[in-house]
Amino acid sequence: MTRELSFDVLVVGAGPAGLAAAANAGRSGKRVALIDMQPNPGGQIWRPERGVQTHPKALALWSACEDAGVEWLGGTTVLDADSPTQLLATGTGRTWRLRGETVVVATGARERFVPFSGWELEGVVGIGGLQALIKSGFDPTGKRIVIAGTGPLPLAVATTTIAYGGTIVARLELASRSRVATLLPTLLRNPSKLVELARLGPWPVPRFGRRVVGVKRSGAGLDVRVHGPAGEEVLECDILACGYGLVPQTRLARVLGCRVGAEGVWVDPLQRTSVPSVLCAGEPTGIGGEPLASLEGEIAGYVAGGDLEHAARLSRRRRRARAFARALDKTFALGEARQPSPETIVCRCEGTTLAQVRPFSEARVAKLQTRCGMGPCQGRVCGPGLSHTQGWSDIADLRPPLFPTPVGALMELWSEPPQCPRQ
Amino acid sequence: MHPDVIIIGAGIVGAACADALTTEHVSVMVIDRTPATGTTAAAMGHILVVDDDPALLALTHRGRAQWEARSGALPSEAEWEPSGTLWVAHNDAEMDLARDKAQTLRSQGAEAEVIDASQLRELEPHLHPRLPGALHVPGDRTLYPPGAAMWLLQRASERGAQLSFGRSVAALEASGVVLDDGTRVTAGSVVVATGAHTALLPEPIAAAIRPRKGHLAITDRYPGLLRHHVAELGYFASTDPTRTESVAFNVQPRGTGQILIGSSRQLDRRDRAVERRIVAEMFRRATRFMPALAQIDVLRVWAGTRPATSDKRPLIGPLPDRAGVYLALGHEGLGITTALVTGELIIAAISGRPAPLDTAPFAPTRLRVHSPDGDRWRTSA
Amino acid sequence: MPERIHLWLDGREVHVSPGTTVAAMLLMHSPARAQPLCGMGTCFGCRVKIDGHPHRRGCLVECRPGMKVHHHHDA
Repeated sequence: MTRELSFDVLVVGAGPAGLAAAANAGRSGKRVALIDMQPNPGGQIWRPERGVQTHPKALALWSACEDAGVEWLGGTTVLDADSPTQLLATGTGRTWRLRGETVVVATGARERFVPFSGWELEGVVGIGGLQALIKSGFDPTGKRIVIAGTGPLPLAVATTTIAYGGTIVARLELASRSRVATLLPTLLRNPSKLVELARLGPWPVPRFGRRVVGVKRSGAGLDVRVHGPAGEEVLECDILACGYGLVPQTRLARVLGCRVGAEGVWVDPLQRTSVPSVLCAGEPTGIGGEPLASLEGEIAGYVAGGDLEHAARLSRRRRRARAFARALDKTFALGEARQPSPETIVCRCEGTTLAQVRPFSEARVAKLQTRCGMGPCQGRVCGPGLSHTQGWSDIADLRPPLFPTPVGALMELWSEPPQCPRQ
Repeated sequence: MHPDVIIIGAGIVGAACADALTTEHVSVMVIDRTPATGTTAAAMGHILVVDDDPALLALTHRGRAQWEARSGALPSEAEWEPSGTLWVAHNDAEMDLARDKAQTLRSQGAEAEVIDASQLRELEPHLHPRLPGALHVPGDRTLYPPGAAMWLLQRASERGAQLSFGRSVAALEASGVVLDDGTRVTAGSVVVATGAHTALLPEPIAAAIRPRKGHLAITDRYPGLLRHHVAELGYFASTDPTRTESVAFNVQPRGTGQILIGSSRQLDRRDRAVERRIVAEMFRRATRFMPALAQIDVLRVWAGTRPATSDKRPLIGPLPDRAGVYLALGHEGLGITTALVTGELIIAAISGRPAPLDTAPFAPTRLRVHSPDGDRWRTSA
Repeated sequence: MPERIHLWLDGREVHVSPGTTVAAMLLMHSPARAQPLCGMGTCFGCRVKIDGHPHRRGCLVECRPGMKVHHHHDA
């Protein structure tokens, strides 16, 4: 039977934004549930390392949540909603109907993948993927690793990789040196960012203006073909970590009916969405990194707790952090799309190639005719890549459930809810 | 630019009409916003014979045979599978129904046999063990409708058909159509193959085609869990034109190992919003017949619209009082099965040549009722 | 030396440290088959059969003693 629980506030996502929102709402005396698909809190950037949470901010927010009696629903997947105040979920072997007067969407971001020949091979992972895998037990000792991407994430991942004993063969940055240099004035206006950079410790200086154009198996390792200012070169490695920035996870917000724009979920300066009972904080509102996400989470937590005054005060700091995020976005934009070779697989779930999708000008027709985007990830991986290379709108058309769910669970959750729920 | 025949609608029926007409060297233009979408993209792709009435039996039997005849040429994208159908009984009364149906089908030359509980278990080990048996129709098939429709459009295009996508028809005129950008295209004949979209038709006829919404779910890959298209015999009762809402157990194995789970019917519902309550009922029905389904993952659920008529038969033939306009719509759940034979009937109607089967049961005029206040069109049974 | 967890991958015994997810185990012990990409539950590349349940995302499940992990043979 579906377990029914009512709270004042439901927070979906236990990364920086979600933890901060839950802690603040909880401190104000609200009954809060914090929900995440992962078994442990922290999200991606504060993912526990080998089962142990070490990030000071995460630990502080988590203990604040514990003190406030926040109910932790880990390993729980929100898959649909009955209404903007009622979420449907599966987890720990059962189905859940969760009610909250306020819902805070803090679903974070996922990596943007741009397809290149061979990216389906074993040993090719995302950049965030490499970090997540290392933190969840993968031992990179003795592995030769190429990190290719753009923006600040590769930098953080390179330092993690080195700390755990991996060897960085090369760190490749898509943006040119001159382009990255334009960030300097912005950095100098944000000394906290310089401190963050320094804290990472010694990190490998990237080679700028480099893009991975293909990878193939070579003995036990991989040969990575790289295009750069001086032409092409081949790098040998065991693992290629490649991804080009982040994509806001907006699907839950869309299911709840929130307006979504080009950057992400639309919110006002107090993190309120177009739906009255729904707040949104962190990456789903536009990629901005951890400090901005936890700040937005704090604001959302105050608003959910009814303390608009505190929320408004914090909102001024948010404006500056957002401006910095936009400057980063501009610097590390993907730029002109480059078509990969025709045999390149564009949809890893279904094995669809670029040659197969090329004849179609519309995402929906291509999907029906080639299966691209029809697999279990429901276009989460191939969608942004194809938007970039083909100029299509998102291939996902938001059909329920949000994640694959057993027939039996949907049968329970989608039946008419019982009358007069107990509070 | 100006063809002999304009076909409005690039779903599987419009595509089959284009294929048929271009085979006869007729110049054709197919107009639709996108190819192979609409009801074609929402459908299951079950190629089956039904014995609801003798006319539908004749139509589906020929329709199925026409697909079989082309099966060797179908590309892999059409996902042609010789699944056969098992119509399962859930009590002894339905076993009697199975025997009656087997006899009717066999009398028309369609292979059909009644199997008992143990034979059923052997064919589909994951069905409920206490089901008494089934009607087995081994000649039924499955395919992937968008893939098959695209193949038909490509063939037509290779024979000179103009495919005009990205625009839709705003109005029918005396000798052609007006597109949504104001362009006029003239032609000797116009075939309206717009499925459940009836906005172009005169009001009383449009009302005779009522949208009947249906839901489907697709699962993750579970190769071997299901081998035949399996539906309950009660499905036929669920398609009764007088019922406003019904669900039935109706599942289909795809070549990938995925399973399509259906089906639902809601009369006069044109929207495509997924209704959770209906899907839950559909799943409850499905798991009663196939308990193993409860454990398997659903990837997505969607809804589509069937174009239904009051006697369950499509409208194929001339539109009364509008010379040169032909209808090829109203197929409800049989549009995929009967697309190719619809193409044959449209050629016969346009060319005046004899049709391969009696066309009177499908003539649009059959639904016209003369009355002193003017003509009416039958909208309900 | 911390304690090690013993589990089964395609019938072969493997050992990992506590806190290791199935996806990380796959990348170390089955480099030719596992294809985790995102490591965070969205790409479904690391799907395996875990204790008889097909299509489980290995990145969301921590290795437990005696766990039986199998690759799918359909994909």
